[in-house]
Amino acid sequence: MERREREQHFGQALAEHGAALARLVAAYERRPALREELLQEIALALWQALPAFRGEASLKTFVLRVATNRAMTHLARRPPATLDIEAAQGIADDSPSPQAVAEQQHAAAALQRAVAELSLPLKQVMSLALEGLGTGEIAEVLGISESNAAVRLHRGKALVRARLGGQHG
Amino acid sequence: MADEELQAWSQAWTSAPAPEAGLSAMKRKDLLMLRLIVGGDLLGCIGCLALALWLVFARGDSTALVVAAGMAVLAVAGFAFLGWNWRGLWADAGSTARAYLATALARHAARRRWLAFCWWIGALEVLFFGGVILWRWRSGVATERVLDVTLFSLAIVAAAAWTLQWIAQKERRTGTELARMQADIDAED
Repeated sequence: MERREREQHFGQALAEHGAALARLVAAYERRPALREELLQEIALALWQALPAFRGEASLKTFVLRVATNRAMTHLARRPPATLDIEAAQGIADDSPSPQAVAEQQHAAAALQRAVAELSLPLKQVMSLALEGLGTGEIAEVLGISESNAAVRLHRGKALVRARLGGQHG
Repeated sequence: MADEELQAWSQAWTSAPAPEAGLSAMKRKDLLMLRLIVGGDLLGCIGCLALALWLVFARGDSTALVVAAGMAVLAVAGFAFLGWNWRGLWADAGSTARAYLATALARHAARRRWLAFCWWIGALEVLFFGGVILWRWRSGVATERVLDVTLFSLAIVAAAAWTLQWIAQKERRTGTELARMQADIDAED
């Protein structure tokens, strides 16, 4: 891949999938102070990985694969604390209260919290599914079989459903 | 069917406000840092000049004139350094990694020069004002306030040194990150 092409892909990846990366980061890293760090690590990892992008999968799938792998490395280096005050405040900060828009944002925040609390294998699958990837693409990103991805997705959904139900109930 | 549920979640998920990612956040932080440093320096220089003028016109004694001259020299040096060090670094960093990297490296180098300048200026100020305080103390003028002034000056020096040290540490981390990215780009040349 030529440098110019790499730069273009990098710019495109951040412009088109920056929000997806930020959401993924929020699912893996609940400490607000460390989210920025993880985002920057992902941006750097993406830059380094771009020569391997052959266009066989979509750029989105490629970006999410790099981000997921980097998030794993980040978690290995900085194990997540149990729900701490800083994290709880960070999540609450993302969901401002006023009326109609707020309700949607509240739902999104609850969903983000539910996904963040999943075990790692289920979190990986759920965060990718919520970004719109099908089980085939999820399997490809995570290097698992499609049936395994489907099973994890099923379990993840059940747990998220239960947690969302528990929060509303 | 189950996927209506997943779709609804996906819609809620993707509609959530997300923090800015990667390059844009780095660019924003870079520009903010630049504005803080240059704004702070400008205010400092203007403050020095104003204080020098006040000392000349409101006090006018020999000590005040010496201090005012010293402050005016520092302010002029500060203005000159500001103009020279930050020239050409206000342009937008662009949307590609290379454009960002070029600007970020230039700003990083400018911040390091600024840090060195601050240490030199700080050392000169300590020597100069330390000398003035010592001179006034030894000549027996206003000795009752010398201790207060000395303690206050030491507190300011300590706070300034701590701030500069903190920025220098941050700058070292930034430098390492930029060097990694630069090495990666260079490897392709």
